[in-house]
Amino acid sequence: MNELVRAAQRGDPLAMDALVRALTPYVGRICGAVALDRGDDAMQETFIAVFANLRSLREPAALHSWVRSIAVRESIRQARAGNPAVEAADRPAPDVDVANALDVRAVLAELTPEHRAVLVLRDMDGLSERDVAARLGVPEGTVKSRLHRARTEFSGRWHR
Amino acid sequence: MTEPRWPTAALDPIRRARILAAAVPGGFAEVVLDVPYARAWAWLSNLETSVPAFDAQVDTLSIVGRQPDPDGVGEHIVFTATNHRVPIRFTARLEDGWCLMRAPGRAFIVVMAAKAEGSDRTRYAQLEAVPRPGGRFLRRRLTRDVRHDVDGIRKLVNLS
Repeated sequence: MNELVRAAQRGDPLAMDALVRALTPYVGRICGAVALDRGDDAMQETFIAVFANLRSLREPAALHSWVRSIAVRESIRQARAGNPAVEAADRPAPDVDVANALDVRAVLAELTPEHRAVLVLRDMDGLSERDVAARLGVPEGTVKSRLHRARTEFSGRWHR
Repeated sequence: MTEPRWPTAALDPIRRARILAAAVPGGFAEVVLDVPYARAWAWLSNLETSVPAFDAQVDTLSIVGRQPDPDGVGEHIVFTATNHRVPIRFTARLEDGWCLMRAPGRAFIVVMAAKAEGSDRTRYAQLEAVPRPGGRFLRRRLTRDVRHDVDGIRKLVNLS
């Protein structure tokens, strides 16, 4: 992977395409869970931003962490663009068929993009609260409160 | 209880082409073809027939080798294209809806990408670029060439 990053940094389009293929499953999970219906757009914009700034990545080993930050940022931006801010608490309770337990998308849609980002980084990607705070550029306390609210919303609706 | 299945974003060939077009400046065009995807891609991916038909700079194209890529998704192809009887050896990666062709030494790349647009139409994108220092100065010329090719494809694919 390091060689691929170096080659892409030198402007090799085959290496860039190989990187896209290698990173697509990972980026797709983040963008899908945070940007929901705008996930495909978020993934496209993530990779465009990745290659626009790839030369600034000094250590190829940090690629995943670096791409993760971009994917979360682009996903929040796309989700905000596609669905103007509505606070979760302002929304009516969703009519979700949790008994079938497959409609995670509908449950996630009841959270704001920022809450989804915290949930994805902490519970799907396994980052510590401190790392999540660093990735999102917010205080650790904000992460704790968002995570609590996101988990409560998510879990409550999931188990209902 | 079933474990949550997180929603996942996807990257279709057109978005993949847009990503490379943003990273490697050259000529890029997108068009909607009035034929179903299966028919359009069957014609486009037959490189020996399609490329000399729509690209005025290619007299003939002969495939000299092809084998599955190790990832099990793509196919690695080696072909010779002649321009005014001058042969140029290309390598290509061919997938369903995607073909990335490269001349030796990163002198020139061509991407053909396609996806279904509804049941009876096809979105097609083409990128031509010279991914070397100074390649961006050829952008106007490459844009003209790509537009010419795409116009040709639009007419020819209807006759296929």
